[in-house]
Parts: sequence; C-alpha cells; structure tokens
Amino acid sequence: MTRRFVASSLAVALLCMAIAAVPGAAQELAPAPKTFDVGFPVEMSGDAAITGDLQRKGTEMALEKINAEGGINGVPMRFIYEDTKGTNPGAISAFNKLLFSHNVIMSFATVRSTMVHALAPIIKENEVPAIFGGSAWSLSELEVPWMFRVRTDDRTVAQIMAKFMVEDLGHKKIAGLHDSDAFGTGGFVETAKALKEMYGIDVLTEQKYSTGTKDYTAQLLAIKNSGATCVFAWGTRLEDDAIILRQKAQLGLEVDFVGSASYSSTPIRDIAGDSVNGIYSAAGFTVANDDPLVQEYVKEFQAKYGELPDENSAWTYSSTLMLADALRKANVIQVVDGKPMMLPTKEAREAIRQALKGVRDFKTPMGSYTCDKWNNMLHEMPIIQIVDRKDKLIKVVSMEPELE
Amino acid sequence: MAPKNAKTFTLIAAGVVLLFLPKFIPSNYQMTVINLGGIYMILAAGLNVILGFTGLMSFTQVAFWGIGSYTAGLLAVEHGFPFLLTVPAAAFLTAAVGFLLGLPSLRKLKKFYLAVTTIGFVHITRLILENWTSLTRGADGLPGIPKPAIGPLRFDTMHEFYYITLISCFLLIWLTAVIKNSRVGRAMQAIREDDLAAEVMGVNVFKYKVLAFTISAFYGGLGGALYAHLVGYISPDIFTFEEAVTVLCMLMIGGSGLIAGPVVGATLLTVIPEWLRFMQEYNAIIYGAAVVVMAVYMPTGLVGLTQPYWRRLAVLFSSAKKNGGTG
Repeated sequence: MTRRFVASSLAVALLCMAIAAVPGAAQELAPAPKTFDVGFPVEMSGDAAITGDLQRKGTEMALEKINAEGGINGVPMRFIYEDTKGTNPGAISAFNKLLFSHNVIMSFATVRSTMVHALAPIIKENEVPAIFGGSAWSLSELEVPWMFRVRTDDRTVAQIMAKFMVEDLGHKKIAGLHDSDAFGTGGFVETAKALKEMYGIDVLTEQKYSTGTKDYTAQLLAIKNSGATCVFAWGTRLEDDAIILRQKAQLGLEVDFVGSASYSSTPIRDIAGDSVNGIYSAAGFTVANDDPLVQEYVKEFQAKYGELPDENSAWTYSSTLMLADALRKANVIQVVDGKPMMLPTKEAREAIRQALKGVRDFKTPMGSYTCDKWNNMLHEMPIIQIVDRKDKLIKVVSMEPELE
Repeated sequence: MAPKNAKTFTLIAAGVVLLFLPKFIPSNYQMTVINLGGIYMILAAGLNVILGFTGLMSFTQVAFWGIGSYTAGLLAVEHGFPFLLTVPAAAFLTAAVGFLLGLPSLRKLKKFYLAVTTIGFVHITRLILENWTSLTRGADGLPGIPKPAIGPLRFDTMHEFYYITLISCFLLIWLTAVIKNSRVGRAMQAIREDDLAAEVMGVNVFKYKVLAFTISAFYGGLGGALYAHLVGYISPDIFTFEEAVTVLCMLMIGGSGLIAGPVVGATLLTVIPEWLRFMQEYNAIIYGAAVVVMAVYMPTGLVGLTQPYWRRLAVLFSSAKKNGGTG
C-alpha cells in the first residue's frame, strides 16, 4: 500500500515536472493585435505644451516611416498619448492609464527628469520597458533595468560643455545660471564638477531661478558683477530661456553664453528675436549638421510640417526608429502560418528589454545609439553657435560608452 | 422610511460600496486616481477648517502638504521609521509649523494681507525644499519611499493602499463634522461671520484662528505623508501655487464650510480631468470652463446647491410618516 502510494506520488511529481519543463509552454503565442501600441505620457497642456507638441511631431513622422516599411513584423506600430499636464501626479495618472487601461506592452516615460523619477517606481514594480528623455544623472543611479535613456545624460553633456568653454573658447572666469528644478540643478552641479576636476576652475557665481520666472535682472546683474567672461546656463523651459536672452541683451551683459539643449530649440528664436544671436549651445540636435541622415530628416520634417525640426522632435523621431528596430529584433511579433502572433506580455517585455540592451551603433539624426552599462544609449552632442537666428555647427563631440 | 432611518441606510449602503469598491475596479489606473482623489480630499478638508469654518483665506495647504511629505519621506528613507510612526510624526510636525506660522501672521493680518502672506509661505517652503540640499536632496527629489506596512500587513498595491486612504478620509471628514458641531466649531463660525462681534461675545478670536491654522496644517501634513508613501517619490516642484489653487477650487466647488464639500469637490476635480483625457490638449479648456461655470452659477458649491432639495425631501418623508401614523 505504502509502496504503491510512494510510486504514484512520484509519478504525479514527475508528470508535473515534465509539464513545467516543456519548452515554450510559458511562451504561448497569441494572435497579434491590429496595432502594436506604445504609450507616451507627454505634455499636451500646462507650461511645456509646446515641447510636447514637437515631441509628438517627431514620433508621428517616425511612425509613417516605420509603418511604410511593414511596421513591426507586419503589424503597424501606433503611439497612444496621454497628457501629463506638466505635473508629477499628472504624469503618474497618464502612465498608469497607458499601462492599465490601454494595456501597452511598453512606453516612453517623458523628457522631464523629475517626472521620470516619479514614474520609476511604477516602471520597476511592473517591469515595463520604458524609454525616457530626462537627462539628470540621478536617474542612472536608480539602476532600474527597465529604463533606457535616449538623450545624452547630463554628466556627459557637462563634460562636453566644460571642455568647450575652457579648451575651445579659452575662458577661466566662468559663471553658472540654471533652473532650480532637477534638470537645471543636476546640470549645474555636473558642469561645476567637470570644470573643477578637469581644469581646477571654480565657478565664480551660481545663479538660479524657478521655472516660469519672468524677471532675471538680479541673476544677470550678479553674473555681470562677478567679472565672469563666460556663463553656462541650464534651462528647462524655452520660454524662460528666451526671456533670459532678451534681458541679457537689454542689460548689456557681454559674455560668451553657452546654453544647454533648450537654448537651441526652434521657438526660442521667435520669442527671443535677435538676442539669441551669438550664443553657443550644447544642442542635442542641429539642422546645421551636414550628416546625410540629419539632412534627410530635416528635409522630410520641413516638407511635412513647414518648419525646421529641433531636439524635441529629433529625439522622439530617432528613438522611435531605434525602438522599432529593437522590437523587430526582439521577435515580439512573429509570423506563424502566415498569421502575426505575439509573445505573452511578460515574455514580450523581457524580450524588448534584452533587445534594447543589445542596441549597438544604430545611426539616427540624433547620433549613434549604443546601450552602455547604465542603459544610457546616446553619448555624443553637437556644439552649435546661433548666427542670424540659424545654427552654425562648431563641432560634434563624442564620448566612449562604458559597455558591460 | 423615516428620514433618520433613510440617512442611516444611505450611509451604510455607501459604506458597503466603498468597502468593496476595489473588487469592482480591477484597473490600477483607476485605483491610483481614487487614491490621489482621497489625498486631495484630506487637503481640502483641512482647508475647510480654516476657510470654510473660520473664514480665513489661506493658500498654505500645499506647503503643509510638502512639509508632511518630506517629513514622512525623510523619516522612512533616512531613518527607517515604519509607516505607523512616519504618518503621525508628519502630521504633528506640520501642525507645529502651522501653529508657529499662525502665531505672528494671524495676530494682525486679515483678508487679502493674510492671503498674500500664505502665498509667500508656499513659495518659501518650495524654495527651502529645493535649496536645503543636504536635508531634502534638493531638486532631484527623494526617491525610494517605501510602501506602507503595518505589522504583517503590507499595502504594496494601489488596491491595498485604498483601505488606508479610505480609513484616513473617513476619520478626518468625521473629525471635521465633530469640530464643526462642537463649541470650537461654533466659535470658528462666529469668527467667520463677524470676528468683531465674536470677540464682543467673548470668543478668543486669535486663539481660535491659530487653532484652525494648526488643525488645517495637521490635515495637510497627514495628506502629505500618505502621498509620499503612495507615490514613493517626492520633489519640490509638486508643491506649487497652482496646486494650492486646485485645492481651493475643490473646496469652493464642493461647498465651503459644508462637511461634504471637500468630498464632492475633490472627487469631481480629480475625476473630471481624467474623464476628459480623451479630449487630449482640449481637456484643459473644457475643465477650466466647467470650473468657471460651477463657480459662477453655484456659489455655495454643489453640496450647497442640493441642500434645499434634501431638506424638502426630509419634510416629505416626515409628513408621509405623520400621515401614515394617523391614518
């Protein structure tokens, strides 16, 4: 009796083990949806709605190209946008809606570092691949394996700016101006650190402001009085940057001005007028770059929207192209017996994560994407000067990615 | 059914629905909205004590929210305090800040001057949170705030957290009802109607104003602590003047001075923007227009608007019972 009981128990256990060990049992394919949906929480209202609009133009243009080439293994790719309203609680609601109401497999996760920080716990908990544009280095320190940065991180940009100010422009008396949000503060700290560590230069004065400030007289006069010959600026909102440049011209502050990427955006030239002329910017993207990929993109963008692209549309365009390539390689959608089939959500997410980790030297108008050990994918930046409200490329600076 | 029984029945039914609500809402997204709505409800209820009951124009609720968030967040992240300690610590510390702010500002300042002072306090609080980097980690914010755990009970999901929000909202709204109908509440309402007359009648106006400020800060701090544990990340740019105006709108639209005002206002102004998401960039215009219409045509708030109908209903029930009883 006992022997029979032990034998039958053993048989049942072996049967269970055999079922569990069947290859592909956990990877049962299901019919693919009509579209492969990717979420995108983006500013549609609030103080940064202009940048949100530009970002959507970039993704939509990339989608046309991707879907004309057959989408993701035969299934058209589509973005679902939800408004972040420019606030962290708004971004959380938008991201949750994308994840749990639209049931997206993966998502973008905004360009604002503080919002990405707010979304990070959700991304980590739900193990969702998320592409983000926030550049604060502190995001890398979170070490969330599901988050992939597709713009150059602040630490790299800061080193590029410091090198340019000292080696190319020859300055030693340098002041800093920045938005007091996560992006601006992080950028200032990293640039000041790079100046000190690379050249032994201390920043003469640190001037900061809150997003949406309308009068920068106090900050600009403090810079003037510090005796600085060059100022580097980290701004989040291009409307603020434009006012700063207008007031800089009004106050007669004759110093070399090296701004972060927002200083190279297209709308700033309309808002700031001629006062934008002469400034330098560590631009994430420039139309003056004679790289054929950039020129082709600029031509297509102008034909479609009747305006010149800037970094806001370029990073979403470039990263969408890179993502589509990764999705195809991840085999999230496979054609079985002539029908498109899709991996289950969990497996699909892991496959996408692995595919993004494996991205190497994928050329786009923003530069070449290579995923490093921090999941940072872009490691270069053009330095431009604005002349007659147009970009003049000074140089493209690349840094070597730290691979795993 | 007698009006009293009808009221009891309605409350019990509402209680049962609220208790089992997560069973009918599988989406994490909707539960997040409900939890955030609950936190706004607590903030608006706190504002109700100071503005609705006492008639003092204040925007400080968002600053108290920030102080409470950071107190709970820092205690949990830096010192490993459990949830059961971070929440009361945040509430009482914020109440102490409210008390200290009330002492100098409520002695002389009234109406617009007080409002301007409170706006200043909101900006100062945000600047301190941004610039006291060694304590608050500055603009980068404070990540890694743990989800609540009470002994073996863990509240990791939005559905589990809902019960913390529900109990907190219930207790704090009930507390405002107790305050309103107490001697303290009547003193506050006397100050709201005419502070000079109240003083002549023997009400210590300054004492009750400071008390209202302290209670309101307690609510703000508690709401902040819950927010920190709910979201897991806080940064100074959340606690803006715009958010203070949102909380004010919630109270005004729900019904200032009425117990159910913050409940209705916070629910509507949290849910409506989510409903309007399908309108994408136009939702802000529709939302703004709806708020203006409600403010213009319903100055007593939605709860105030429906009160005459409830009274009429109560009279109908009462007369029906009388007729039934004699017939």
